[in-house]
Amino acid sequence: MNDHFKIYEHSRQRNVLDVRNLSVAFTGRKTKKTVLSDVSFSIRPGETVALVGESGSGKSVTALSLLRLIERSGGVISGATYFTDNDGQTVDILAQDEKELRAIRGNKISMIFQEPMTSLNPVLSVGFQITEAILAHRDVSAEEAKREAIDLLHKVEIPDPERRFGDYPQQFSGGMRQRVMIAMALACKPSLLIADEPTTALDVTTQARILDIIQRLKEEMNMAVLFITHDLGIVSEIADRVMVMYCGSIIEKADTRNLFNAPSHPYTSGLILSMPAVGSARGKGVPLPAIPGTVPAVWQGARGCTFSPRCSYAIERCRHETPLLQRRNPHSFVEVACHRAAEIRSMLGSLLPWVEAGELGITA
Amino acid sequence: MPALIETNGITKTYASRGGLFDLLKQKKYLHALYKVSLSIEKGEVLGLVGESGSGKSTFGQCLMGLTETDDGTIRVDGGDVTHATADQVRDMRRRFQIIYQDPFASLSPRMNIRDIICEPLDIHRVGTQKERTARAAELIEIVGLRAEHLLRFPHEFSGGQRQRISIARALALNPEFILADEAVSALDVSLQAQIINLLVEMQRQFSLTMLFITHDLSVVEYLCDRVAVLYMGRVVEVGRTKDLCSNPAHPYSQVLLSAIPNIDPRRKKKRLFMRGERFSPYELPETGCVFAKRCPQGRPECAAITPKERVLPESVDHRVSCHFA
Repeated sequence: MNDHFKIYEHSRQRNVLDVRNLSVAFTGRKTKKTVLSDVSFSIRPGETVALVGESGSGKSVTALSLLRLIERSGGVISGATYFTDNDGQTVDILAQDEKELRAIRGNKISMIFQEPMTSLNPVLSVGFQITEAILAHRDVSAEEAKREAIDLLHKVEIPDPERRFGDYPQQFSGGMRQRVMIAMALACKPSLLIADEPTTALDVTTQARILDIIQRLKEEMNMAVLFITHDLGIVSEIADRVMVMYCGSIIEKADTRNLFNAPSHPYTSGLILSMPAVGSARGKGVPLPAIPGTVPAVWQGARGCTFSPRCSYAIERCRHETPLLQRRNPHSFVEVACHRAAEIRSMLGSLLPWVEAGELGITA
Repeated sequence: MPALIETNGITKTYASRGGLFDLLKQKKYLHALYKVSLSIEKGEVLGLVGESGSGKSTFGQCLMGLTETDDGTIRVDGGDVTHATADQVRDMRRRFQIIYQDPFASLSPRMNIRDIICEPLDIHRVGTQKERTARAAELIEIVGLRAEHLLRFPHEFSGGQRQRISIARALALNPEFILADEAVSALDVSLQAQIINLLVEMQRQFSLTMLFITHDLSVVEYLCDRVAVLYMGRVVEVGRTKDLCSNPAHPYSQVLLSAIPNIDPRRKKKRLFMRGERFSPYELPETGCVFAKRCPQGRPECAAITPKERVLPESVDHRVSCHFA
């Protein structure tokens, strides 16, 4: 009862982002390669949604096309992307012109990338780069901007921010640079933060710190986060909901608890099982359950389900007919693109070492 | 089991290069390795774990004779090879092989797969051309690819397949020892599992001795018999994988383990954090524990007295360098 009420409440709140049938293609002289097909999803205010997939699955293309940055490399976008800012104004990002886009990028929607050194300008002090972001979008004095920048550096836990304000990017370690990037991204209190593998280049101890900072600031600013990663471990720790991508399509959408306790797609379950996890190994030499084969190039996805060549549950139908992303059942919020989802669901769940036989009936 | 490789107090120091204006300043020195003593038994897989800059790769390079050590000794089969002659080095390189992290950088784009796998055989003049090709065909199947792949070039393969080729090349000379330096770190999750399984299988099938260098503690359990944790060039803890992963004794090992995001909901633990920033590797204190400043449990005596390595009571050679572990 209570849950139903919560869901009702959520549905009344406007989504920060509503992506409908987003497709991206690169056209050559004679060829057209579709790298992202019919991706639809939404993000609610204050929610962390993870986009998971292996390299080449289309995660980064999705992120870049949300801000229309993919067009610079020749990508052609179709579909619609409705963005609602904190004031309740809704716009279709795909219909905006360059000037309107500039008012959104780095202001209402910010992005942080994997390698902080390539995102920072090496000849400008970090203080200058943060104040620049503030002054570009907001009507404040230079002094006020500086005060805010120092405050931001403080918020991302950079020790001694007044002194570090004038330092240059190379004087910071990798983890510290990523904190600077986060400070810059949050300078204008965005409604949505897109984080594209922000901790992949960092050590685990530093990664833990950065994830912590992002989570804390997200809550403080009631900001939505689209977190792109290949690491399911991170997903299980920070995400409210998860979308799994394979070959340019979303193949499963679920809340985090459901995904890790009752995966619906054979690929999701395969990914979870193939993750090495501390303390879960049954000793050296017991093989990890690996997914056979390799990820095909997106445009090789030919007919049928793109995962079917690697799938141990594939039947004849999977090789001919492309499965659509559908709700697992009418009462469920879990969506899955698999013909056999209903049949194999309990089997997939029972493979997970942490799922007790009795727990399989997790609903929703 | 006798040790195949044994290092005794090896130290490696690099002098800072610095820019033009640094010429006038005093040179700074960085201890990439400081008095590292480790042994790897025959047929054993030793994991070497630590963050970037901890000296993992330098240690591997010292073992392979790719870098000279400043102090300490390296013994192979009981014989001192610290200052090996050219002939000795040549012999060692036949018995010791390396698999690197990035299969895109470690395979020459201009050589076909047959030539890549046969190159070690060519260099060490093993067999005739025909025999070498036959060996390449045998190896490529052992690592899970097909003989028809021999005439292709590296760019036609995915990352996981390339790493299989690197493994085939490393196996070509029937080595006794393989150094795997972050060999699975650059791969996607689904491929990482495949390559880990392949390495385990190869290690068993050919009774290889291995040093497995990684920053990712979660993979060592699937591969390693023992693990050593390195922090700023020093071994802070070493023990059997199971003991170290389930009962880390050194506070740094505890931090490292707690920082790994874990998907297993039964294993969710409270995260431990380090304090402040680490020492600059150029300005390490003369005495005291190198981890003292960051240690969640650090006490005043940690900065004053350098901890000595000791064996934990009631353990199987589980050694740790901490006053309070």
